[in-house]
Amino acid sequence: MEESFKIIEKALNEGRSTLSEVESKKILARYGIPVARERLCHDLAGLQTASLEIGYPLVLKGVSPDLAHKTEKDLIRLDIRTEPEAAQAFNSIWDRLEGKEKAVLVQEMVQGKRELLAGMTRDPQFGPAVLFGLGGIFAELLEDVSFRIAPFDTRQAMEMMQETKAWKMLDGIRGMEPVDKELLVQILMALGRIGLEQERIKEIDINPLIISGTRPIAVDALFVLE
Amino acid sequence: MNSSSYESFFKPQGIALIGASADPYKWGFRVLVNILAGGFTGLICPVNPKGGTLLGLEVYPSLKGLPREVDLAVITIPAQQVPEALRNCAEQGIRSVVVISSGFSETGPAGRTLEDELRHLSSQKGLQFIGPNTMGIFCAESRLHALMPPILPLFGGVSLVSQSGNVGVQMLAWGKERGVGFSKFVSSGNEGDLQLEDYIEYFADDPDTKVILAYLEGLENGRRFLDIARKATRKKPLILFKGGKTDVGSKAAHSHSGALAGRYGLYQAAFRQAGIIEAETSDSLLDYAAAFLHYPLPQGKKIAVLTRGGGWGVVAADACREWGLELPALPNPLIKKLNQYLPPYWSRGNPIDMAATLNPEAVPQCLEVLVQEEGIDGILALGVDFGKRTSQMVERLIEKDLLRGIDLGKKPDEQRDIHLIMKLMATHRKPMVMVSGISTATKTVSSPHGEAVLFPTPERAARAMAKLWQYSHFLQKEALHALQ
Repeated sequence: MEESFKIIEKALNEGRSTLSEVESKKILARYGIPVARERLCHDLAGLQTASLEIGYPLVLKGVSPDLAHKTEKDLIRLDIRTEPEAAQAFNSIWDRLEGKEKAVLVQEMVQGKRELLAGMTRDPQFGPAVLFGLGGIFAELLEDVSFRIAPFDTRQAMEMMQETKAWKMLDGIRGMEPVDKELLVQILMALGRIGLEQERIKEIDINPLIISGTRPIAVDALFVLE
Repeated sequence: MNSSSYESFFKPQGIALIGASADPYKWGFRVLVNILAGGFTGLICPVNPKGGTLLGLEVYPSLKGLPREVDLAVITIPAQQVPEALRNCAEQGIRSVVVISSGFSETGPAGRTLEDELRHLSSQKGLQFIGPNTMGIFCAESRLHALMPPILPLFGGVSLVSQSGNVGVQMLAWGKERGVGFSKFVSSGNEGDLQLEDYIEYFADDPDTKVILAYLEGLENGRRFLDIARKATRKKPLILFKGGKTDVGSKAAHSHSGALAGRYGLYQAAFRQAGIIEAETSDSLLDYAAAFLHYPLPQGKKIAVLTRGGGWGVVAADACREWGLELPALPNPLIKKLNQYLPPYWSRGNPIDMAATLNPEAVPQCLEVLVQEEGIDGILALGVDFGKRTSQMVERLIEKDLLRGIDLGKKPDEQRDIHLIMKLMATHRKPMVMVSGISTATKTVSSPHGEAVLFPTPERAARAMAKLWQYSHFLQKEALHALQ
């Protein structure tokens, strides 16, 4: 909790209203939420080290403190399988990035067809509320979500998931393995805890939360500060 | 806010009506008339500087000299004069005040300032007030009708708090038509002091309140409301109708989470978490109140539909499924039992279609068998007052003298099916929700075993059953959770 607090304080002192993807995932990891393995790099040497450490296939993402939604700026390269591909991807992203604090995030490519959305929003009426539902780029269009107001218990966390259509894809279907629902419950509980403990966080998006095998993994995250 | 501090609001020993007037176009007259017409059991003291008498009562020129029993003040004087009146109440030892007067925060910043002054004063002087800008309060036990509109509600077990005066009063009026009676009603007005959840807290502990109803538009303190609601729903059903569903402000949201929450608001989530039953429409609010007052809760969601004709059975089945209920297939032993009472060509399915049988005993026999079936948690009985149409026809035949020499047998009791259902429900404690074949509005019929509630359509009956199950399910989960 202390370290999360420090990350937030630093951002606020710098006058930022959001945390970077890396900072966001650091906090998620602190609260026990599974996140994709990743490293930040600023040059090809760093890229090479990271690639070796994490292993192919990789995802490369351009990051800069004030970016919110990346797909609109063409800063992501998926399914990088070789060193030359990685280098090319790095360069093309680097050229598109602006700002002094830019970097490229090298991330394990989490494989999975099922994408969920988990998040938190601080409601002026009810305080921190957690949400769960169908994720991916169409999340806001499809609006398949449910909410619970924190604090809530594991039973409520399970129930909120059952209220969505996305719930149905969590079983073993179409050759895909059944998702570890207990882990999903823990993720939702953790989001509730973050909302209650970190008052300067206004909104959290974990989108997508990709199901890889049986495990939900946070592949991208956005923290909006108050 | 504990319940004893509310006694003087709902069961005052004496009321001071500040602003009492002989002018029939003033609220100070109308409210007094309503209090008198309602038969209030305590002292009524009109207060007006002019003094004299009014409607047979002595008018006090000021609060000084009022009998000691007076513990509630109802105020209709202009807004500007209300702070002074509150001070006088405090001096007299009157701690409970209903401020009917308007001209406060609902009118703008100046009114808001005035209202803030009321709040400040009341907290300083240890007063509590309802309103301002309230349509008043009602209590059956004390026959208190300190209300603006002329209405004499039916007495019963529902207590209602409404953030809109006219929506609340409409519920009271509909209640009369539908046989839904009220224990207490309060129009919470601007909520300058007491808030919606304060009343819910009181009703939760009030033994005369069996069902709590609320009309809500906005909350000052959502978490406090939730905490109180959670405690209330463990004790009795809390049914709520939210006005302004699409009023959620355009919060500038940077994330999907924020945007999605902003669109729907979190009210539904809050209600679900707290075990609140949400009424989707204004008419369903009273339907649900009637259902919760007079039907036992089902222990599961498996419903049998009993119908005289196939079409309505289909409509009922669709409605049940739409509301999340199940129509189980009938097990063979049950089919065998029903075979004895139904025509040989009956479908052997659920809905149980009696297929225009003229056997007068078919309905009672089927009902007896169905209610005792373990795999059935509730029954939807369609056309329970069918007998009335037969009677109307017979009357016409007699008028036209067409029945010479024909013996129709004993005149069937129109209410027979209804009385039987009430008796079976009392014995077996399963809901047997009734649908009328005649009326176009929900209504209540007296029977030796209690009040029978009849819905005008299978859809309205199905949704009422679904809410009964929703609450029952909530209680079951709470109980399970408490054991862990």
